[in-house]
Amino acid sequence: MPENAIELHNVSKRFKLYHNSISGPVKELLFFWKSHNYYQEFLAVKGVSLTIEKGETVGIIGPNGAGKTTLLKMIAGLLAVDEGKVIVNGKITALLALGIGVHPEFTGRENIYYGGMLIGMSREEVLLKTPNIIEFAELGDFIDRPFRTYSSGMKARLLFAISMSIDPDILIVDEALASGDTYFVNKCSQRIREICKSGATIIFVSHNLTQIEQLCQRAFFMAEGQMLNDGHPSKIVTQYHRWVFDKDAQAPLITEQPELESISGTKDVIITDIKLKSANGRESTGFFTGENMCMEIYYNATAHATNEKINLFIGFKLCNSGQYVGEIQTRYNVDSLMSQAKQVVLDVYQKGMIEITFNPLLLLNNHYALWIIIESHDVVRYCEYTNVSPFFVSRRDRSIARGPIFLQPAKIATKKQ
Amino acid sequence: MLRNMFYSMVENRELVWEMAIRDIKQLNKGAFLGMLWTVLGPLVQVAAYVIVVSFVFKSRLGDNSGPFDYGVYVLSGMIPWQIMNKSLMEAPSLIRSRMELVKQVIYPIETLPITSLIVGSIGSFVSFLIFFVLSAISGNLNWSILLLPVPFFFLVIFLIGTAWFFSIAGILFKDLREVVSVFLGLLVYLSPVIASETMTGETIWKIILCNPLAHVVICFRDIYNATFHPASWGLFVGMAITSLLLGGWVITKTKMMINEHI
Repeated sequence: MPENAIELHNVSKRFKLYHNSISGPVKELLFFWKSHNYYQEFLAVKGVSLTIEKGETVGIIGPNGAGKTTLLKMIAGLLAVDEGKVIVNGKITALLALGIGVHPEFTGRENIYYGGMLIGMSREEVLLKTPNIIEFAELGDFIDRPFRTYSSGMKARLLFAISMSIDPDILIVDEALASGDTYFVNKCSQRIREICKSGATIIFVSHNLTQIEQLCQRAFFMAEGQMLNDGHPSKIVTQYHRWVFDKDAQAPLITEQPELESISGTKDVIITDIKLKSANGRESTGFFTGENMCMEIYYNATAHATNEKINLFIGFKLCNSGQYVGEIQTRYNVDSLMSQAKQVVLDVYQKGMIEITFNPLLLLNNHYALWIIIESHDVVRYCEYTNVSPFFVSRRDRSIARGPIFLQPAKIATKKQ
Repeated sequence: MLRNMFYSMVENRELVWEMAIRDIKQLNKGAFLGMLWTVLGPLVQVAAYVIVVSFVFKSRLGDNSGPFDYGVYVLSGMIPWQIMNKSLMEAPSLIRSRMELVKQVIYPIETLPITSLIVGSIGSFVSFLIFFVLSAISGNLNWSILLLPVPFFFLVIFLIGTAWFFSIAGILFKDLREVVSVFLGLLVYLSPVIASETMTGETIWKIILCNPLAHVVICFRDIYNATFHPASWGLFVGMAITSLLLGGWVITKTKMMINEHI
């Protein structure tokens, strides 16, 4: 029977927010019979129970302020548990932040030495691992120069390398892999997998959902201090997207729209407003995959541009990564009924509106922003807008969906050959 | 309670030692004379006291003793005083200056006073060697100096206890460091470090004896001079044990709460 590495039974954490941070705690001690006068209580974690088996890699996801870090700190023994019980079997190493105890005047080697000791290695362990750390960080001769002379990339690599060098029973990682270039992040993921294989239990907290899906066997979903669900990572990630969607849908609109300012072109045509409407005709910033979305682009044109023909280009980008997903071009538009490409010609009016209807919308769970270019028929650019009109898309059903695009083939069949 | 603390110290001895060395390195990075300053500081101070007291005020320790004897006398008092001074001045900021560390990793904060003691005592150790040579030259060396570990032991537990207490209090009261440093700066004049009973007369000596830290210095001098002041020893040992118990109690009670307050 596999032993549990971590068990939490109904764990709660209350923070006392003192009205006065200096005199509050003192008054609380002195006047203990009316101590509640001096602070407000804030429940950061509410009755969380969970078990993590030995050798499991789990992820915890949830919005900011969900109590993830508080929970991790309680597991790591950095914060006192107010209610409930935390049982931990094994030695815990918590990587809650990078660069603990790093001194700018020390050389890379010295920083490895002391940094390693501070995250819980013994002197022999650190000395044994130093060559590996140096190699992992790819610092070369820089290792014996003061840390302050490093470029920020080198600093980040060294700090990651120190953190990643440990061989713990239980490893807690809080957002530590969030930065660094793609190459190095992959290297770190590789190292995390190695740690997994060594039989260690790993708890991850990250906003990088792809990473959670790739690395974890199980995920937990936390929001507002409560553990809402646990299960297969992709299921939990979907649930998280839905949760975010519902939350956003409750708020009337993303009120803070980026300003519409053209970054290039002659500005003979300028966009005055962009409205996104859902199936029921209501203006919205949240949409469901497979349902209608209507985009209305309002513009003003100068006399010079009026009566010209224009081309419209709309690119879709992911908000968080900036990754380019797809585009609409009036110069080359696929007519889904005719199954052929044709050019759509748009006339320009002094004041006008371009309406684009998606039926159905085939984007998947994510936040998107638009990149819009309007140009004349003979390719003179009138205006260009980037990262405007952000919106998000989610699936109404609970099916597992990955990636930004929902591919919908016209025909799926199997033939005997 | 104290047993746990003791185990923690033994268990983390490697970390304590390395952190002390790290602190020393950190202090001396880029400094030209580096470690020498911790020795030079007290020696210059001793020289200043000798010049002011022996030559400006023209007072003497005894009837036939010169400025040299007075210098050795001041130095002997300066050694424990410097250890106390360094440790107590550092104590309020022990935890607060390591805020990031304490928040992110499970650091055995109960070992911090020892780390700071190691760092603070190096200068005093060299001063002691100088004192030892000087008293040997002047022929005032007593066999009783072999008992030096006894007051040193009590000094260490006294400082650990107070540092525990101050480091916790220093998290809440940010001005504690300034308060402590002003007090210590004043108390040196109200201590037997630069004065002796024969120099001050009875009234002022009585005032000096009101300073609890004075007794620590008196006890150390007992060891050098093979004398014995039972009252001072009683007070010193009492203070040491009380502070260790109080500090130990405070730090065990509050250890887990620190993270919420910094």
